[in-house]
Order: sequence, then structure tokens, then C-alpha cells
Amino acid sequence: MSTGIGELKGTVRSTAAADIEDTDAIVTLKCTGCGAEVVINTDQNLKARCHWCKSVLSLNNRIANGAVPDGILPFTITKEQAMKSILNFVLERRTYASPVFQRTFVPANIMGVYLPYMTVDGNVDAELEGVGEILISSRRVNDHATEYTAASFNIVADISLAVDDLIVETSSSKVNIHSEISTNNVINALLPFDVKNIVRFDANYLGDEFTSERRDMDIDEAEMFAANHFLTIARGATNPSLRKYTRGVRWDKERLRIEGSRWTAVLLPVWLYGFVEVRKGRQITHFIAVNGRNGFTMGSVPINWGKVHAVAWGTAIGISAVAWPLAIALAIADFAS
Amino acid sequence: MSDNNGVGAAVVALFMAGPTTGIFLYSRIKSKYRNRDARYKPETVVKYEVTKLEVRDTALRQLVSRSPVIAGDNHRTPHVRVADVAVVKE
Repeated sequence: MSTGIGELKGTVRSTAAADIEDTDAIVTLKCTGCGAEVVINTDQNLKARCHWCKSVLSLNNRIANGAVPDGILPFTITKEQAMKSILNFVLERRTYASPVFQRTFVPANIMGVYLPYMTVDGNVDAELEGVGEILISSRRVNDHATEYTAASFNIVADISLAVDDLIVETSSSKVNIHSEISTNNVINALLPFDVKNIVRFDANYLGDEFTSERRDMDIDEAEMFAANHFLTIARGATNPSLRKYTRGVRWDKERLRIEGSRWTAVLLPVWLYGFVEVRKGRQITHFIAVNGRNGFTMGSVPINWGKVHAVAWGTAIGISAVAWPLAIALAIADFAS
Repeated sequence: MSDNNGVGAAVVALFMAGPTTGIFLYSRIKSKYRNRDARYKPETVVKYEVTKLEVRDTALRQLVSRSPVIAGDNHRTPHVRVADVAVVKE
């Protein structure tokens, strides 16, 4: 684990995790070779060549528009490996895949993208309050019902945690994993990455093969997502202490205090394939994504709804066509006897 | 009586067999293709250290229920927030 997490107080920001001061993607750099001014669109590239002396310019210095992170995790999964992964993923789902998707699916169109995240170390306290029940006895009332006698308890759990390298999305287009128009949860599911192997950012890691997305969320906006994850961790960490409540626990109240946190802006590697489905006049972007470090693949494949409905309800009707006459005959026979 | 109850249960099961199978197939396909439940699971993959844990309980009452579990049992879904949540920062 990173050192000193338990002693963190307040919000500690790395250099590149500072608030975005300028949302303009266009920045002007002075060439260190000849002094010329070169304009770079940081939404498209973090490198450029001076058009006068051909020196390579790169944004290794901090630019306050969210484009340059503190660290980057280079791709280790090649494009060929990623293509194979998504091909296998789709082949396992070809039976009910949308025919438009199947016709246009080209694994070679997968793109290597560095997506913006922040890693967060947290020194947090959580208080959970709820009710737990312990089973005392049970008795069968009739053929259909059982009666359970239980003891009910009010439970309060106080837990303090030192959390190491939680990862939070810092792209507003990707952070909502419940979006109805974009299957962002698929990209979210690729986490975690081996962020302990992050290296200092150098635009040369992008090369010509990869693109990057600029961070457009500050810590203030990302903090609510981090808090959500801290509470999830706190709830999970209390579970071993709840085993005596044999009928389960219902948490009713969650309180979180963030004593201290440490934030670092990073770019993480993702192979991304996107497909836009138009359904009932609405556009939904389906992603198939590959973790650029360990090859873990997750995706959403658009469905041939006509075929699914036909199979599901056709099966239901077929089984009912046999089962219902049997049921009626059984009921009549039982009534007659 | 118990024979009648057994036959009754069989009749209900036969009526339910078709619709249940259809719903099951539809849900399974949708789940496999859409993967809506896929997510980052910090509760299992993030490294953390518990520096303090105290669990206190107070007896409330004894109750009788027809359900095998407590109403609203949510301790197995730590990623789902409860209605009453508050976050403060030092």
C-alpha cells in the first residue's frame, strides 16, 4: 500500500490534478528549437512538430486544461490481441446479435484510447446504521408457508479505512455508468488497472497509434463518485462482522467523513470498439472494451429484439400448449375424485 | 387434504411453466448481451486497511415473519446506496 494513507488530512492534489483553469483545447506552445509559436489541439493530439524547424513538441509541461496528467500506464495488450478478444466476445453472442451490427462489425476498427482517471488514496470514517435479525426458530404452518421467529436488533457500525488507489473516472461522458444512451458501465467494468506501475507522463507514449481523451472533471466533481466507492468499500468491510445476524441486515443510514484524500491524474489504456444503435428513434452507443494492460474484455452487443421475442415467447407458448391441457385435465380429475 | 394441496401445486406449476420459461430465456439473453450489471467492484478489488471497526447492537424486539430473510436485506449489495446518505469532508 501507499504510505501514510492513515495520516492523510484534507485534500492533497498532485500537479496535474489541479482544477482545470482553461477549457480551451487549443493551446499555443513555443518551440524550444527555434522559438516559433505552434498551435496544438489537445483534443486530438498531445504532440506536434514545429513547422519551421521540425522539432517535436510535446505537452510534457503542465497545461491547465486537463489534457496533461501526472502519469500514464502504457499499453501492453497489442491491437492484434485486442481484436482477437473482441472477436471472441462477439462470436459468443452472435445468435441473437443485431443483424446490422453483425454486418458492420470490423474488429480492425478498434481504437486504442487513453482515458482520463484519477487515483485516490482515502483516509475515511464511515458510520452505518440499520437493523439485523437473528433466527430463533421456524415452524411449518402448512404445505405452502413457514413461520419464522426472530430477534431484531438495531445495529451501528463505525469503521475507519485507509483506501489505496481507488480509481475514479474524470471524463463526464464516461462517468455515468447508468446512462441510457451509452453503455459506459462496460468501460467502468474494466477497472482496476495496475496503477502501481504508472510512469511519469510523456506524450511520446501516445505515439501515432493511440489517442487520448482530455479530463473535464475536477476533484470537486469526481469526489462524489469517490465517496460512493468509499461507502461501498465500508459496507463490504463490515460484512464479516455481521455473520451472527442469520436473517440478514438492512442498512438504513450511511454516513461518510473523508478525513483526508490524495488525488493523482492519470491516463489509462483502453481498447475501444463502438457501435451506435438506433432504436425507436433513440441513439444508443454500445461499447466493447478491452483493458489495455491485462486484456480483460467486457461489452454490450446490440440485440436482435425480433428474434429474441420470437424465441422467448414462442418457447413459452410451445410449453404452455403442452402444459396447460395437462393442468386442466389434472384439475378436472382432482375435482371429479 | 394434503393430496389436494399437492395436486393444486402441480396444476399451478404446469400453468406457470410456459410463461416462466419465456421470461427466463428473455432475461438470460438480455443479461448476456447487454451486461448491464457489469461494474467496477471496489469492495473486492481495491486494497484497503481497516484501522478501526466497532459494531454495536441493541435488542429491539422479537417478531414473527413469513419471510425467511429480513425485509429489505441489503448487506450483500454494498454498491447500492441507501436512501439516507450524508458525506462530509474535513
